[in-house]
Amino acid sequence: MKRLLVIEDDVDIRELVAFKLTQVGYEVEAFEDPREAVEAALHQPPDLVVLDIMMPAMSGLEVCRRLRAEPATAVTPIVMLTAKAQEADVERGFAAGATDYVVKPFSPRELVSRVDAILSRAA
Amino acid sequence: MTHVLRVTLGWFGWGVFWYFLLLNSWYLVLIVVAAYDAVEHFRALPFGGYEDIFSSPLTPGVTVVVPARNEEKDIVDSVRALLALRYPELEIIVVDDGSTDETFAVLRDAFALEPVSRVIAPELVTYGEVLSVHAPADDAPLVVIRKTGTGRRADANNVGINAARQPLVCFIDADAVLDELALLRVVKPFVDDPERVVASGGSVRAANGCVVDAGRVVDVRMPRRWLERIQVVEYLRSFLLGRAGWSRLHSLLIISGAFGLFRRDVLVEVGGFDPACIGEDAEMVARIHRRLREQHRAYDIVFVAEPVCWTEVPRTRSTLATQRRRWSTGLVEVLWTHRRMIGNPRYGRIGLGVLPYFVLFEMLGAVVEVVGVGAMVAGLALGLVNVAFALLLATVAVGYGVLLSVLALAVEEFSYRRYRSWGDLARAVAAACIENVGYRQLHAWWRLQGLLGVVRRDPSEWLALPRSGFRARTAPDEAVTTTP
Amino acid sequence: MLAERILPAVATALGALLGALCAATALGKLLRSAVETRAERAVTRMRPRLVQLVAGNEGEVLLHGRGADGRAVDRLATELLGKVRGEAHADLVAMLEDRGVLARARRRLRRGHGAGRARAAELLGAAHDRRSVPELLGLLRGRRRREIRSVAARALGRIGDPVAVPALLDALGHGVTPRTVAQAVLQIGLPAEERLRRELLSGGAPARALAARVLGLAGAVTAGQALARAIATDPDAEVRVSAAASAGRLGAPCAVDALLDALAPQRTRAERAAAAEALGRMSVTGAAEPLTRLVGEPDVAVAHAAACALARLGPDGRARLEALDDAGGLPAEHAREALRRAA
Repeated sequence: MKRLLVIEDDVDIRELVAFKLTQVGYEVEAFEDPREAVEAALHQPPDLVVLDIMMPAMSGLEVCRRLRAEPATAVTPIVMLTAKAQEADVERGFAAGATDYVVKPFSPRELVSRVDAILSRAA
Repeated sequence: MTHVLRVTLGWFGWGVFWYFLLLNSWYLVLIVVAAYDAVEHFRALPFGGYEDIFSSPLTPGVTVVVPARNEEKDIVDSVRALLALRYPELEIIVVDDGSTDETFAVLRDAFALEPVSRVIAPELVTYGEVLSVHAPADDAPLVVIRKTGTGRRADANNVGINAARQPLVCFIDADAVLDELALLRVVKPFVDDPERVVASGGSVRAANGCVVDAGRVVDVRMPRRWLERIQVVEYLRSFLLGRAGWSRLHSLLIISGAFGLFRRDVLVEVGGFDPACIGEDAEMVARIHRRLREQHRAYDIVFVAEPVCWTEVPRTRSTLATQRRRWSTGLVEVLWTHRRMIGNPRYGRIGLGVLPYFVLFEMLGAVVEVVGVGAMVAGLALGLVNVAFALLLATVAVGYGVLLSVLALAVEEFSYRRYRSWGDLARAVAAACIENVGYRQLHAWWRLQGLLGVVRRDPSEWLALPRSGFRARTAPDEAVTTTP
Repeated sequence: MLAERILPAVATALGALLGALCAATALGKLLRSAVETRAERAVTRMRPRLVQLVAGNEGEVLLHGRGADGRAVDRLATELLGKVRGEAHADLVAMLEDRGVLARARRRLRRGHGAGRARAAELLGAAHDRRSVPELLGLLRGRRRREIRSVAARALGRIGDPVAVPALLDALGHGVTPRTVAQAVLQIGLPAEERLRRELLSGGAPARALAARVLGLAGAVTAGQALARAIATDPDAEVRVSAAASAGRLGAPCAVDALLDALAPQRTRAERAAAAEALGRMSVTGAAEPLTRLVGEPDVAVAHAAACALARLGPDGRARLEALDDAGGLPAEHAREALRRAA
C-alpha cells in the first residue's frame, strides 16, 4: 500500500484530505506541524506528500526544499495544496520543487485523481 | 497664616480631585466608545470578506519593514512567521541597522541569503550608509538591507520606505509576534475606504507570560511578575480600548511603531520619519494630520483592535522607568514640534480637541499627580489637612481609577477574550487594583523625570538633524524605543 | 460641609459598582465558557461525520442534528463551503438546503436587521445560491449601509450570475469601492465581457478604469483593440494605466504601437512603468531601444520597470542590460537587479 503524508494546519481540510485518500486505499499520515512531518518524511520516505504552503512554523516552500535537499526524498512527488493562487506563487511553488499545484478552494475528487495519476506515472 | 495655608491646600486638593475626575470620566467615555466598537467588530466579522481580500488579485501589496538592531535571538523566527502571514502580495524588508551581534549571520544561514543588487529609491533623505543588500537564493519575498547604525530607528524605517516597492508599507518590531490574520485585518480599512484611509495601526499587547512557538502565540497567559501583570492591564486599558475609542472619534494621534501600516505615497509626501525625534512613530502620525489638514484633504487614520501584535514589555523596574521617561520626552517633543496646531481651529478636532487633551492630561498629568500627592503628604504631616477627609478624597480618586481598569477587563472578557483561565482573570483584577495604588504614582514620577529631561536638555541638541558621519553613535536603549 | 456628606456615599457607590462589575464579569465568563466548551465538543464530534459527507458518503445522521450538534454542523459546513468546490461543494449545499439553513437565510435576506441580512448574504454567496440573486440585487441597489451593500456585491460575484453586472457597475461610486465591484465582476468573468467593453468605450472614468483592469484579469483576449484605443486616447490617466497593464497580460499584439507611444516622457510615471512592463510581458523585441533609454530615467519606478521588461526580451534585451551594467551609475544598478530577477 502506498504511504502518503498530508501536511496541513487547517484541521477541516487536513481531515477531509486524509479521509478521502484513505477511502481510495492509501495509507495516510496527517500532520499539523510541518517540523514533525519533515522528520517523519526523512525517517521513512513516503510515496507522496500533500503539502500546504502557509503554515506558521515552517512554510510549505521550505518543507519542499528541505525534502528535495535530502537524497531519500529528492524525487518524492509533492502536491502543493494552497490558497495562494497568484502567478508568482505558483511559480515559486514549482521552483521549490513541487510536482503539482492545487489551488483552494479545491475539489477533493480532483485531488485524488491527480494523486493517482502522479503515483501511477511514478510506478 | 496656618489658616491661609489650610484654605489654600483645601482648594488645591479639590482642584486636583476634579482634575482626576475629569480625566477619568473622559477615559470612561473612551472605554464605552471602544466597547461599542468591539460589539460592531464582532457583529461584522462573519461578513468581513477577509477571504475575498486574500484571494483577490486587486488587493494592494504590502511591504513589511522590520528595523532590526541586535536581534539575533528572535529575528529568524520573526521573519519566518512574517513570511507565513496570510496575505496575498507581501514583501519583507529587514533593515539591519548596524547590529553588532550575529543578527545578519543568523538570517544569512537560515534563509541562504546572497548579496544582490537592488535599487533603493533616494526619495527620502537617509543618514546611515547602505552597505549591502541580500536576498534568499530561492526567490522568497525577503530582502535584507545592511546599513550603518545611526542609533535612530527612524533612519532605518526611512531606508525601508525607500526600498519598498508596494503601495502600502507596514512597520513591525523585530521581536514582535503577529497573529496570522493580523495583516489582512489591518489592511481592511484601506480596502473599505481606499480614498480616505492613509494609515492604520494594530493593537499591541504584552507577550510576557504567553507561550510562543515558531513566531506565533499559541497560548495566552498572564505573566508571573506583578510589574508585568500591571502592564498587561495598562496596555488593555490605554493602548487597546483607549485607542479604539480615539479612533472611533476620528482622532487617533498615536500609531504604535511596533505595528503600523501606512500608504507609501503619503509617507514620502510628508518626508518620512524624523530621525531627530525620539517618539518618531507618534510624530509621524501628528505630521500626517498636520499636512493633510493643511491641504484640506479628506482622510482618516484608523486603529484596528483585533489584529494583535504581541510584544515583550519591560520586566524590571529600571528598564520600565527608562522606557516611560523616553515616552514622556517623546510626547513633549511631538507637542513642541507641532505646537502650532494646539488650539488652532484650522486643524479641526486634532487641533482643538486631541492635542489640548495631550497637553493638559497626558503631559501635565504627571506634574499634577506628583505635586498633588506631595502636597497631600505635606499637609498631613503638618496637620493642616483633616486625615479622614484626605483619605476619603483619595479613596474616591483611586476607586474611580480601579473601576476604569476593571471595566476595561470586563470589556476584554466580553469581547476579545484572549485570556482563558480563571486564575488569570483574578490576577488581572488584582493587578488593576495595584496599578492604581503605587504603580500609578511611580509612573507619574517617571513621566515627570521625562518632562524635566526635556527642559534640562538644550532643545537645539535634540532638534538638530543627525549629520552623516554620525554613525558610531549607538542607540540609548534599543529595547524601549517604540511607543506601543 | 456638603462634600463630607457626599463623598462617603460616592465611595460606597464606587465600591458597590466595582463589586457588581466583578460579579457580572465572572458570571459572563462562566456562561460563555460553558457554551463554548459545549460548542467545541460538538464540533469535534461532528467533524468526522461532515468530512465523510464531503468525501462522498451519505450524511443521513447530519440532517437530523439538533441543538449544539446541529449548530456545529451548520458552522462547520459554512466554513467548509469556502474551502472546497465541485461535488464536495454541491453536497454541502444540498445538506444545508435539507436542514433548512439556506431557506432561513433567504428569508432573513428579505427582512432582517442589517447584520442579519449581511450574514445571510455572505452564506448564500458562499453557497452560490442563484435563487437569491434578485434579493441580493435589491440589497445592492437599496439605500442600505455601504458595508451591507459591499457584502451583497461580493455575494453576487461568488454566485457568478451575469445578470448582476449592470447593477454592480451602477454601484460604483455609490458607496461600493471600485475594488469590490471589480473583484465581483472578475468572478463573473467572461460573460461580463460584452458589457465591460461597452463600459470601456462610454462609461465614466471609474467604470472605464475598472473595465480596462478586469478585461485583462479575466482573459478577454478579444478586447485588444478596445484596450489599444484606451491606451492611446483615453483622457483619464488611471484608465490608460489599467489598459496598458491588461494589454500586457493578454498579450494583445494590436496594442504594441499604443504601448510604445505610452513610454513617452509626457505621460505619467505610472503609465510609462505600466507600458514598459506590458511590453516586457509580451516580449516585444522591437521595444528594446526605447526601453534601454528608459532605464536611464531618474524616476526609479519607471527605470525599474523598463529594466525588468528588457530582461524578458530574450538575448538582445539581456545583452543591452549587460552593456548598461558596464556603464555604471543608477542604470547599472537597475540592470543588475533585473538580470538577477530573470536568472
